[in-house]
Amino acid sequence: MMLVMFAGVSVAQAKPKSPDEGVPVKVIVKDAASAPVPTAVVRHPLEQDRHRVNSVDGSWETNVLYMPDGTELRFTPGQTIELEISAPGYVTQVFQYQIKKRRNVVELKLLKIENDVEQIEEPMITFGRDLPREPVEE
Amino acid sequence: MRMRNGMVAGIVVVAAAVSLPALAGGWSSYNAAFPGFPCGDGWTACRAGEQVVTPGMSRDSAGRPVPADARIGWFDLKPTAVFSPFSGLSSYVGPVGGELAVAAPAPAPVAPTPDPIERPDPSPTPTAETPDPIERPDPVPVATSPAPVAPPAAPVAKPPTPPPAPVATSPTPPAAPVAKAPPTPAAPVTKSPPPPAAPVAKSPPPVVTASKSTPPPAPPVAPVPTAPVASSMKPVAPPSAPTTADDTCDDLVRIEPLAMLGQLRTGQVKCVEGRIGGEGAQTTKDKLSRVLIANAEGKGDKVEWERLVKRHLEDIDRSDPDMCFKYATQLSRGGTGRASGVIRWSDYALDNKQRWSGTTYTKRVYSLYRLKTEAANKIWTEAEEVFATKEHTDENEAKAAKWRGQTKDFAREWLDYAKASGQDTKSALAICVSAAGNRAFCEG
Repeated sequence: MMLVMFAGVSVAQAKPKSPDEGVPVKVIVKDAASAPVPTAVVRHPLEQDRHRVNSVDGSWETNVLYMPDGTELRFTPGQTIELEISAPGYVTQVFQYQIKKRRNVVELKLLKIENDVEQIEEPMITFGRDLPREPVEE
Repeated sequence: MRMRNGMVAGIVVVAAAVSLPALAGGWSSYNAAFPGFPCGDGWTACRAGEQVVTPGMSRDSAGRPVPADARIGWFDLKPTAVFSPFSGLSSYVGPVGGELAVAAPAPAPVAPTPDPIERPDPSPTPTAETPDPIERPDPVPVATSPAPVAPPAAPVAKPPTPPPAPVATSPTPPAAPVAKAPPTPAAPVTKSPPPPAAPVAKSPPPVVTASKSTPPPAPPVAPVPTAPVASSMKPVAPPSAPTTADDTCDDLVRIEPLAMLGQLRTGQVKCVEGRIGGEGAQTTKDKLSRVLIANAEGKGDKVEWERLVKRHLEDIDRSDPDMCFKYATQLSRGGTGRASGVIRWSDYALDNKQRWSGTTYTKRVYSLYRLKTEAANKIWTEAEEVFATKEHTDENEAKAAKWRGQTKDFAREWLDYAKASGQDTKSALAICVSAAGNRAFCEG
């Protein structure tokens, strides 16, 4: 009886995933100090929606993307995908990734947008002066 | 060997002989440090605010010596006492009489001796061309040294009675050694001495002439023999500070230099404020308000400066792009709460950008687009953080989306202008791509 039960469990575990489901890919977005960026978004160049990352750990994970033309882009091993990672105040990064069979975890670091070192040259506020009227030619 | 040493020594001597005179500077090397007429009105000495300006070295705000005619400090770029070129003649407020130079009793008319050439009195009468004459210590002693114009061999006797015109006014050298007037004697402006007994033509010393506005030669009205006066000159005490503070504000041009240095007295500020409140004409309010703004800036009081500029822009006039630009720049140094103000006043400055031209135009327009974009980016970033980490509501999401769109539009404007005017596009492109999430939108 016990042997039959163990055999059934082992068969269930060994069952392979369906190739139609796609391989999950996880992207973790962090800043230069390795802290998660809660406001980051991930987007495929051909996609219209932007996917927000988890605001706690800065991660986003999926195995399929839905394109504007109605097609589905399922991630399969060996496939190369391109993603854009952006966040307000950070320099946007575009990266390409070749999907593996398992453990597709990508960690990216975003750099802050640096303000120009050059300071804005301020004008001088002048005093009010009356200007003579231009002579009217007759 | 001995010849080689001799050659080396010779070369050294020749090099020293050539280089030393070149390195040595003459007195003319220091002309720029000691200007003859450092005052803005063309005078050699004057009072600028609380300072007395003379051809000697002045001091900047840190006490470093600068030439007296330097309008801004070399090291700190701060305005000096002679900053304003519009300052009129200051009035002498020292005691009149008693300490002033007193002319000795005029001698009886005598035949002039040929040795000292007598000159026209530098201060006959006040002229109408100088409305606010400065009464200064009489610098006549400068001219006391006898000028060797007339040779002693051929003395010319002067008439005992004063002629209506100078004896000789021709600028060309006379044939006879007669004392002559210079080609352009200007009208002296100081006090009038007692009438002379023996008027003769004399040449005025150049120091005391109001040179800038009196081109035609003025006839010496009441000449005085100079030599005896000079011998009885007493040193005049320097003008003392006014005993009572003048808090009037009728003449704005007079108080502008003080305002630039942030040295308006409280009474003057109250006077100007009072005039703003009671003035009907907007143009006059504009002038008065600008004086107060300059005073606050001169004092370094940013809070007061912001209050005054905001009042000026809200209540008086907002058509000055310089003021809008400067106010927006000041607001941009603050937090997110002031970012919407940055966008607002940048837009007003851009509305009147046609008042600028050339490089000023391109730089300021670029800076204004930059200010707008960075302000919108600041608001968008905060809205996204609130939505992602604090309140995940539809309202906050809509706010974040709205400011993302604003940031994208402003960044695209900034980027387009930067490309068109050949300026740096790096920051504009980074914010544009960040907001659009699509590089193609910004690069297209």
